[in-house]
Amino acid sequence: MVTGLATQLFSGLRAGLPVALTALLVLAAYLPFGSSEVSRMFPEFALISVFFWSVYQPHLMPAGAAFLLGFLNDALSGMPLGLSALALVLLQYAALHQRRAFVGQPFVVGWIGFAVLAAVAMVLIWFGASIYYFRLFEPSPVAVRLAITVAVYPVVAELFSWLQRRLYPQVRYGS
Amino acid sequence: MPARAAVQRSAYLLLISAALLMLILGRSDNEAVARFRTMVTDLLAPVMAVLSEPVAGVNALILSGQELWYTQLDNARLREDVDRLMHWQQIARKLEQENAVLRAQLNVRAEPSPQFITARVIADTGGAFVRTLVVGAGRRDGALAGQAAMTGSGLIGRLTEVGERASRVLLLSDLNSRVPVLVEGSRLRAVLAGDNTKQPKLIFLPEAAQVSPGDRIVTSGHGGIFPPGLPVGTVVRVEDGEIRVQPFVDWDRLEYATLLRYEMPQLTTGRPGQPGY
Repeated sequence: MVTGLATQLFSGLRAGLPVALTALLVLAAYLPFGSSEVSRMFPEFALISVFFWSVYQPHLMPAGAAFLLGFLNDALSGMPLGLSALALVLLQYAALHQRRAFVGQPFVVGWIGFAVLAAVAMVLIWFGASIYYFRLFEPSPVAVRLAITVAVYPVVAELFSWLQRRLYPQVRYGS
Repeated sequence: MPARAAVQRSAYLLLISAALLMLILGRSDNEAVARFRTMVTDLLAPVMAVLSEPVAGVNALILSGQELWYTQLDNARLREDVDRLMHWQQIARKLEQENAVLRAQLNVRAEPSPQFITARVIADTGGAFVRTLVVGAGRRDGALAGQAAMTGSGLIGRLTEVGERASRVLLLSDLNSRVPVLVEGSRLRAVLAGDNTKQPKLIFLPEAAQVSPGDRIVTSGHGGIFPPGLPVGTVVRVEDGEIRVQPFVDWDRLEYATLLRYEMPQLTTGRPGQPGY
């Protein structure tokens, strides 16, 4: 009985780990680094995480979790509440429904897929913010951040795959 | 499984409509959305405070390294500064006395002196769209929406959302920031408008106003939001009718913010038609 409960608790923690880790990375973007340039250049880890887990372990990144991660980002950053939440839910939907195109394929296919979907998500956020504030925002900071996010994808994806192998050793990576 | 697919589809519809609803309500300045955000920021404040400890530690280490490196240069400069400031101190003392005498003669009502709350910056959200900070002081510390946030060198912005233990500061550089100011020498009134750049614009100046680089900008106190005379910045560029102001605050060294508790007697006790209203 006790072991059953412990196992359940452990599997619950295990299942929640990717989302919790991503939440921490979302918060990290807004730490006072002493230079506002840093938070402007900080990779959008939530995009990477939502894409990665939706493709390779969809049950660890349900749509509700993507929504919550976006909501967390909006609440803390002072951005329009709901904008990142909307973008991440749409990203989760797109990644989940296209996952067959990436699973079991060479790594670079996933990378390119991520670049395309992340670009769409960030353009959506940029466009949404422009409508919300009724002002055309400079697109270059968004482009820079997108480039940085796409550039760090391999490193983060490698970390996540390692985590995935540790969490679910019985499931082969990419299947 | 068509039933499961239907449930999934309605879950997506629900989440997307929830996000859109929040956006629409937020756009129309809905009180509930603002309060909701404040609540979440409040809940995150302790987490951010803990997470920012190591960051602050590393920053301090880098800073002390730099300071050690520049000690000799700094010492020479500081000695010069002390000489210069001693001179200013004498002038200030003299003016203070003179002012007190003149005020007494004219029977001027003394301006209330502001009280301070010092708070640590726990989140810096200088994204592509907004320029805000979160500081670790809230209602329980006496913070109120609208209060001015400063550093030793000058104004940084004002409190917009105040929670129980954390508040959001809308920076001077944010798109939505408008601060009534004065050009110090000429006493011309203007508004300092942020546009997400590091140097906000001066707008609503009179047509024939003469403003040149180097002019000091201070708060005017109009509108009753800020106390008058808080240092804001200096004019750095005047081009094609566009006037840019460099704030005194060093955006890259924002570790603490001072919140001013300032009671406006005219606003709390005055009535129309009375002197002082």
